[in-house]
Order: sequence, then structure tokens, then C-alpha cells
Amino acid sequence: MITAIFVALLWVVVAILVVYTVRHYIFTFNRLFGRHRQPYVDITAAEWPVVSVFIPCHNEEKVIADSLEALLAADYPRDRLSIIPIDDRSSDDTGRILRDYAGRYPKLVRPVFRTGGIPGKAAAMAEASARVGGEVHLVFDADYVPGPKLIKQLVAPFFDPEVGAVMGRVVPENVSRNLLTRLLDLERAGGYQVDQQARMNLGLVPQYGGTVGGVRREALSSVGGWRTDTLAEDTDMTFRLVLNGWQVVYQNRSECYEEVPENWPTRIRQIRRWTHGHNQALGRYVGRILKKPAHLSWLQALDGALLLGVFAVGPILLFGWMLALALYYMGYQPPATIFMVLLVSAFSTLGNFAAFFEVATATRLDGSRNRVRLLPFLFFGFLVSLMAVSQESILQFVGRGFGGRTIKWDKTERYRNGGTQ
Amino acid sequence: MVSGRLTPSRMLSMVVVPVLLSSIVALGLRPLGSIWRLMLEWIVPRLGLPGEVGFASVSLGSLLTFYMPHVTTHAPLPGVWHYWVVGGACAVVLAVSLLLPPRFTPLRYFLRFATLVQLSTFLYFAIRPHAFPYALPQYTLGFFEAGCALLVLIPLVLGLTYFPFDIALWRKVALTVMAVLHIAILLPLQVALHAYVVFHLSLLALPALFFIWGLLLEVFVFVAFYGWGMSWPDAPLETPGFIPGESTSGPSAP
Amino acid sequence: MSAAFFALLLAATALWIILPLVPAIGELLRPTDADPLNAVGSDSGDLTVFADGFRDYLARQLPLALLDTPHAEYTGRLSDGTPFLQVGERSAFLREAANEGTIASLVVTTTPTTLPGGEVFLLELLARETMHGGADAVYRAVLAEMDLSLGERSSVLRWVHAAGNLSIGRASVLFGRASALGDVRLHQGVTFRRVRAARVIAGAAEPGAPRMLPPVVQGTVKFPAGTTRERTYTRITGDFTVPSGGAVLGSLVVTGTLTVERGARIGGSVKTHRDCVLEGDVVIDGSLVSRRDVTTGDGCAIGGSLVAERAATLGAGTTVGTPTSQASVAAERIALHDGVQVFGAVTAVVEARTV
Repeated sequence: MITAIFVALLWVVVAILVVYTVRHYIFTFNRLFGRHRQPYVDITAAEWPVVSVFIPCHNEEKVIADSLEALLAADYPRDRLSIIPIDDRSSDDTGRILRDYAGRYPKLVRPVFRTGGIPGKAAAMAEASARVGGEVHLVFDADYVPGPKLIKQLVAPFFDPEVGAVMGRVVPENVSRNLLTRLLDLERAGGYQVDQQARMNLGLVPQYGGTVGGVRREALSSVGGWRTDTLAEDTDMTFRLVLNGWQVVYQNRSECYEEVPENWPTRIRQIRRWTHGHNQALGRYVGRILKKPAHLSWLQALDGALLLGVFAVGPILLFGWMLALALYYMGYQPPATIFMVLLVSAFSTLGNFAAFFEVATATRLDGSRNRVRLLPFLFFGFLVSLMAVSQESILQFVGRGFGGRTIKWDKTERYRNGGTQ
Repeated sequence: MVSGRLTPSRMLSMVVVPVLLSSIVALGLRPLGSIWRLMLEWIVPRLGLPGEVGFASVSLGSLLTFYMPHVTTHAPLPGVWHYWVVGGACAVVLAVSLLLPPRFTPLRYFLRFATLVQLSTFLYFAIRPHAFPYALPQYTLGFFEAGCALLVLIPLVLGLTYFPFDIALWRKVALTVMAVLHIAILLPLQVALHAYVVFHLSLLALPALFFIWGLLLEVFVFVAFYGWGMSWPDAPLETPGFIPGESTSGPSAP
Repeated sequence: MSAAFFALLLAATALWIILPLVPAIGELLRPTDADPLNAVGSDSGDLTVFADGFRDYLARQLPLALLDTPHAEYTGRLSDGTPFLQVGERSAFLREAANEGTIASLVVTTTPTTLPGGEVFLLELLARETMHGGADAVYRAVLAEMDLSLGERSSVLRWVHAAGNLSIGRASVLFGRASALGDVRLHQGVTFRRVRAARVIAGAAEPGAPRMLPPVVQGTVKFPAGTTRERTYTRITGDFTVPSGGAVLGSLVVTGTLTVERGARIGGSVKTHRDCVLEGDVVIDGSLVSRRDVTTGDGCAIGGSLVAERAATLGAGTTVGTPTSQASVAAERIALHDGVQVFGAVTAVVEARTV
């Protein structure tokens, strides 16, 4: 009896893993042979709308000046651009730097200094976005250095009245530092160049990722603004927009550099934060998306549900291994096919990270070659991710519950040495 | 990289060639079994393992039946000495995983994962030591059987994930052949090593070897080949001497 | 003895496993491909980047002697060794320098120039004054500091930019980008991909100024059952037709095909998930975005940008944008009928042409 139950559960686990693997293969195939959709990127002449660019900051003295300089050099009509750094009670020199820039560029740089309220990026965005106008709200993390054309590229999709949010591509700048940064570069490539773009190509649900992206202010307000009780305000926003009739679009050519974690503890903290926030969104929205609102197709609803579940795949995979182990001790050996799936899934996708063939395809699409030789080392990255994701998921579902993690400023360590000041 | 069109010739290359290669591998399993038997017959005595190398019938699905070797050495149930040695090794591995600096985090996690699997075996043998359903001879035979399934699958997996690209067909075939041959040589070496370890450390070592040091290694090796193959250049195309369009060279190129 | 053999076998197996990892280990220890991806951003959308680059290049490379005699004939080399030819008042100088019609030098014309046609310019050409190119000429790239017109059946392989107005003769082919600070006029049968100007005109005739209409204050169109009103647009499920002369207040999203009959007006932007067909004299105040084809009849006016994920066919006299409000036309394939005016940019992924 117990054996039969375990076997049935194992088949369920394998079915879930197969679904995700097939999904990733479809995405890869689409990127290789499907129709590539980037309809808005050629809008180069336009009556550009008023844009507010938000940069949530907490102790960003090392990087904020570079970000501001890049935004000040942006090719965008000056009378339609506001740069809104949000200083959330920094204890370093961030505030002084922002005041200096506001003094030098009073019409462009208009910082918001928070003195109270819930800490964190989502709360900072909620407070600041309620204070400013603008038709489009773009968001950059403080360590991002946007190119001069990026703002126009990110704004262009909003000429489509159905678009509620846009996401660009995040490109690691500190690639060459060590093995971890090189692995993250590969993962990012797979996640954006293949995964996100394929979802865009297929008319599914690209995810708004919280930086190098933006939302339409009317769309934001129609779904109740930024939620402050989540660690993944980007995932939360994606699904609230989609469920309320807005489209999220992805633009592969709208690239911006970021700094990826350079050590494993930082990486683990980042993964755990993403897991917690993403699982919060899973709990909140999976039921609603599976009920398939009228304006969504079945494929969109299914893709949305699968997107919500990506951080649950890790614990499911672990559970599958535990079932296989238990069945092994009971004398039941899974058929070779099941075992193959479990083995291959040991290398498979978790969260935003892509299966090895997605990563390899993305690398070639990017015109890179030799870096893909590092593919087997992705196993180490996946193992760490698997453990971090599973640990956080278990704590979340069994221990702390959905909301049971203190909202605070969780941000990735900065490695640049001071800004241009 | 990829010309972007799923042409009939591309589909042919993605399906027909891999299926052909897979069929060749499948047909080659019979002679491969004999080669593996010869390898084991050379290795097993030198490892001091008692018993001969057996040769038993296995099948892949209902279509293919062939003979695979296996050791006939029987591994003992764990005794006190085995518990101490394996337990001690686990303790050392766990200690190492705790002492390694953060930059070795993946290794730390891997060592702890392996230790957890081993500890599950301790638990099992503590509760039901005589109910352990596996013996070394069947384990080695099962290992080869699973390995055969993997070998037959490799060309098909590459057909889906490597053959779509504009890499010369000879390179695609070469990568497939290299991966298959490499793993075909690796399998009997692994089996022999596992047999030695289990014989000396008892059945206590079997689950960890199966789950951690078994076919997971083959998949790892396969991904290494795949990554290497994906770094190979595209097949050369016939290009005109001059391609009009965006300026990327010349005096005025930015 | 067996232990020693075991150790040897273990070592051999470990080495065998490491063998396919050698390329990976090599790339890790001696990186050959570890630079950040070259993030697009510096020139995307900026059609004049090559022209600007050429201008800067020439400013650095021109021989100093020419500064004193800017209109003199000159044959020589630039500082970097590039063959260089400056044409003064005697345009025959160019003909003399050609080798069976091919000029293998970078050319600068310094006076108003009219070329006979048939030349092949292997390097860039800078026209400091107005220039009229002849028929059947092939240009690598042209930078004009005033007005420029290229003859029929000309080909431009890289880029062309005019600080004044640019006219491209019938049946010409622009392989790269074309831009002007003034107007770009594309006569019939021109194929191109990217054009940017204050105004892009298809055909020879001077089209009329775009209509300036007061905003729509009341909608007159009845929407079908199932229509939902979102925050900033009206969503219609399935196909929809705006009747002739009708008016829609605000923006529309249609999940099927939208047909707008003659003379109707939409006082906002439009998005269709399938085709969008505008009959003649339709006005859309905002942008028009379609996931498939867009076809406009004669005399339509689109206030904002027009984006079609497949083909865009603009009927005679259609305007996109206004003199005070730039806009773009972007599609995979674009066909512009006579008299189309686009105040801004026209970009085709595959091909655009004037018909």
C-alpha cells in the first residue's frame, strides 16, 4: 500500500519535471525556429511621454553616482524626464550624494528621502510612486548603468494601449571575476535570451523583473499600486497586471549591465529572497490564474501557473529523490526512464535559471562560444540553488508561513569602488 | 548559429541521423556486452574480488535482448567494523564540509548531501538490516542495464539539443560517437570500483554509490561533452565577397 | 596488492571522467570568453551614428593643406593612407580619376555637383554643397552637408545622410540606413529598410499638410456584448467594425480583426490582436499597433506610431505623425503608396518599398 502511494507520488513528481523540461525545450525550439517578436524596439521617433525613473537606494554610496550619471546622459527629452532616487534611511553617504545631484540638476533629479514606514524596495516604490506623476514609471536598481538609448527603448512599448509593464534584459558586467559570476552569466543568458524572449514570442507571460523595466502608471494604479508585504514585488506586479487585462512585454535588445553576486553566501541570500517572494505570489495567484480569466488563453493561464511554480520545482525535485530513495529501500526500483528523468532534472531548471540546453542555446544566440564550455559546472550552481530554494520553501510553508519573513532591505553586495564623484 | 528555418534537411538531420546512430548503438550492445565482460574478467581478479564474472540476459523494452556481465561476488551485510569505518568516514566528510570556507559552498553542499544519503542507509540498516533487497551481483547487472539505456538515449538527446544547430554534420556525429564511447568505457570501470568498495565496506555503501556516484556521473560527463560541442564553430557558409547593409568596417565605421 | 590496483583503477577512472572536462577547466583557468555581453545602447535607434562617425573621422584625417584651399582639386591620401580625392569646380576631375567608372578613393565634392551617372564609389562620399547623382550609380556611403538627390536606380550600400533634404530616385535600393535633417523623398519603386527624417515622403508629388482635428468628445459607436472597460482602454473580444463616420472615444483593444470604415475616427490608440484594416479617410488620434497586418486606405491619418508585427501597407496620402509630433512606422514589411507622409522614422525588419 505504502509502496503504491510512493510510486504514484513519484510519477507525479516525474510528470511535473517532464512538464517543465518540455516547456524549456519548447522555449528553446521557439527561439531557434520561431517567429521573433520585438515589435516596439523600432519605435525611434515619437512624442515621448513623461517618464519617472525610480532608483530605490539603501546604502548605495559605491554605485549610485554611476547610475545617476548614466541616467543624466540618457537620450530622452529633458522636459519629460524625472529621475527619482529613493533614499530609504541610508546610513552611508548615499543621502549626501543624492542631495548633491539634486542641487546640480534640480529639474531632473528629485530624490525622495524616506524617514519612516516599512523598509524595503517595494515600500520605497509605493511611497515614491504615489508622490510623482508621469505616464510611465521605470525602475532601475542602484547598481545599474543604463545606456543612453535605454529609456526610449523601455518606454516604446507603452504606445501599445494594452501594455502594462515592460522588462528589458539584465546583463552581468562582472562576468570574469570568478566561477560563480561566470555561472550566473550563463544562467542569466538562458533566462533572458531564451526563456523570457520565447514567452514573448509565444504571447505567453514574460515576467516583469523589478529592474530594467517599468510599469504604466495607470496600470499600476488600476491594480492597487505596489504591494509592500512581499519580497518579490516584481512577480507580484506581473500577475496582478496580467490578471487585470494588462500585458507584460519583454524586450531582449533593451539591455543593461548589473553586478551579480561574487560570493556564494550573497548568492544564497539572493536566491532565498527570490524564493520567498515568488512562493508568496504562487500562493496568492495560482488559483486565480488557473481559473483563467476571460481575457487569457488556456496557454497563457498554464504558462502563468508554471511560471509561478518555478521556485517550487526545487523542493519537488528533492522530494522526488527522497521518494526514489525510500522506494529503493523498499525494493522497488523505478523504471530506467523515471530514473533518467530524475537524473537529468538534477541539472534542470530552478527559478529563473535554465536547463543546460537553454543556456547553451542562449550562449550561441548571443554570439558567444567558449563560455558555454563551463556548462558542467552549472551543476554546482544548481545544487546550491536547489538547497537554498528548498530550505527557504520548507521554512516558508512549514515554518514561517507566507508572510513570516521580516521585510527589510535585502540587496546584493556592491563591488564597485565608489562612483564617478 | 541557426539559419532560423526548420527546413526538411534540418529535420532530417535532427531525426534521421540520431535515430540511425541510436540504432547502431543498440545493435552494438551485444558486442559491447562481450567487451565489458572481457574488461571485468581482467579487472576483477586484480581487485581481489572472489568469484567469476557472470553473463546474464537483459532486455531493453521488449525489442532488444542481449547479454551483460556482472560480478558474482557477494557483499556482506554490515558488521560492527563496517559501521565504524563508514560512520567515521561520514563524520570526517561532514566535518570537512563544515570547515571548508564559503567559496567552496557547492562542495560543502555536495558533501552534506552525500552524507545525508549515507545516513539514510545507516538508519535503514539500523531498523531492518536483513530486509535489504539488493545484492552486489544484481546491482552490477542493473547498473549495466541502465547504462545501456543511457547509451541508446544519448544520440536521441543530442538530436534534439545539438543537431538543430548549424554545426557541421561530421562534428555532430563525432561528438555523439565520443560521448557514447567515453561512457561505454566509463561504465565497466565504475562497476568494478563500486564492486570493490561494496565488497570491502559491505552493503552499507551500496545506496550512496548508486545515488551519488552512479549514473549521475554519466550525466555529468554527457553535459561536459555537450558544452564542449556547443562551443564549436558553425559550419562555414558560402558568402558573397561583400555584404551590403550596416557598416561594421571601413573608415567611417564607428 | 588489490588495494594498490584499486587505487590505480580509481585514479584512472577519475582521469577518464576529467577528460571531457578539460575544455571546461581550460576555459575556467584561462578565460577566453569572459567579457560582458556588448550591451546594445550606444547607437540603437540613432540613424546618424555612422554619418557622425564619418564626419569626425574626416575631420581628423583631412590633409592640412586643404584647409587653405578648400575648393581645390586634390588627389592624395589621408593620414591613415586611405586614397582621397577632392573635386573642385571642375566635375570632369572625377571622371578623369575614375577607372572605367569606378572610383576607389574617398571623395569630397566642394561645389554644387551634378554627376552623369553610372559611377561606382568604393569608398565614402562627402558632398559639401548640393549634389545630384546620376542614374545607375553605386555608392558605398554618402554624407551631404546640404541637399542631396540620387538618380534613378541608384544603390547605397551602407548609409546616406543629408543635412538638408534627401531625394532617392525611382527604383533605387538603399541597403543600409538613410536619414536627413529635412525631408527624405522616396520616389516610386525604392526599396529600403531604415529611414529617418523630419518627414519621409513617398512619391514625387508634394502631399498636403496633415489635417488638424479637434479632439473626440463623444463616442457614437455601439460596442458589442462582452466589451469590457479597463482603466485606459475598451477591450472588445473578437472581430469588430467601426461603422463609417463613427467615432470612438478613448483607446481600443480588439482581440480579433478591427475594420474601421470610411471616415470613422478613434480618439485614442488602437491595438489589435489580428489584422487592422482602415478604409479611406480614417483618423486615429493615437498609435496603432497590430499583432498581424495593418492596411490603411487613402487619406488616413495616424497621430502616433504605427506598428505591425507583419506587414504594413499605407494607402495613398496616409500620414503618420504630424509636423509637431514625430512618430514611427515599424513592421516586418512595409509598403508606402504615393503621397504617404511619415513624420519621423520608417523601419522594416525585412523590407520596405514605395509603390
